[in-house]
Amino acid sequence: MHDHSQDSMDLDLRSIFRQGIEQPYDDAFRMAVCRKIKRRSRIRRAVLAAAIATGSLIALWPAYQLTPAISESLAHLSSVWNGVDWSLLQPSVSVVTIVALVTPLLTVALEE
Amino acid sequence: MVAKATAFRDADSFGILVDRYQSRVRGYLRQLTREPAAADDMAQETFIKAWKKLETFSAKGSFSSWLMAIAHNQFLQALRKSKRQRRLIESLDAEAGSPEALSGMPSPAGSSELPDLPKLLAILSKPEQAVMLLGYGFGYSHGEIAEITGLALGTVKSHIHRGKARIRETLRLGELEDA
Repeated sequence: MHDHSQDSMDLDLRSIFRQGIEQPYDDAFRMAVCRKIKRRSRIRRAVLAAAIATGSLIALWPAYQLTPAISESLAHLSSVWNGVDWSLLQPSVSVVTIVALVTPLLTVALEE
Repeated sequence: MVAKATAFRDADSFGILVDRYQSRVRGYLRQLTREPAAADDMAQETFIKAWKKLETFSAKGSFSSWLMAIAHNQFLQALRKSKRQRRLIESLDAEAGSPEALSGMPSPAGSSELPDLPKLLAILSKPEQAVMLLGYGFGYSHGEIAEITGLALGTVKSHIHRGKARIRETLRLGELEDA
């Protein structure tokens, strides 16, 4: 309270308020706050992991269904690009690739 | 310490901040609520909210004011939520300046026996209590009080002016009663 000239009443009031205000302090309070913060962080991480796992599982089925089409396309491409025999590509590899591409995007979206 | 707690989301660094500011936050809320247990619960929520919103703290401002603003909002939210508390506040506001509130008020300035804080607070409305606690009790400037309470600077000044006038009047009447 430095914004105006101090009169004797201001000084008295400051003295009354400063003497009268409790200054509660204990370690238990800090520990309770920190415990709650850490618990909430753990819950948040667990929910996030569960959401990612669920999202990945949900995305897996359509991705798996797409694999024949993708394999066909890749096989067609292999005729153009003779360096690699794309027809050997396994459907599971395609699924893993798609999930690996989608998961980071999903994680970022969930965190936001 | 604030920077470290923010940058690394470090709960232990934040614990040091809790240690540093718990007296201030708890003391303020205890005076406003007059219920230590409820005030401490609100203080815990204040720190948890501060932890969640840590990224929104701008290093340009004071951490103490920022934290007290969260505490003040916590108090206002609790008031709004609780009808029982609202009724209590209304009755306290109605008491403010009433003859009952004046009785037993010893004479002030110049006297060795100053009135105690609960008696002074009892004659003030809640906004006056908040503003005067922050100013006289915790030494915040008018600008900082405006930041903490979300009131306009002019409103802060007028609450202080009115609060002082109310106290002055109360004490004058107390002296008359004593005489």
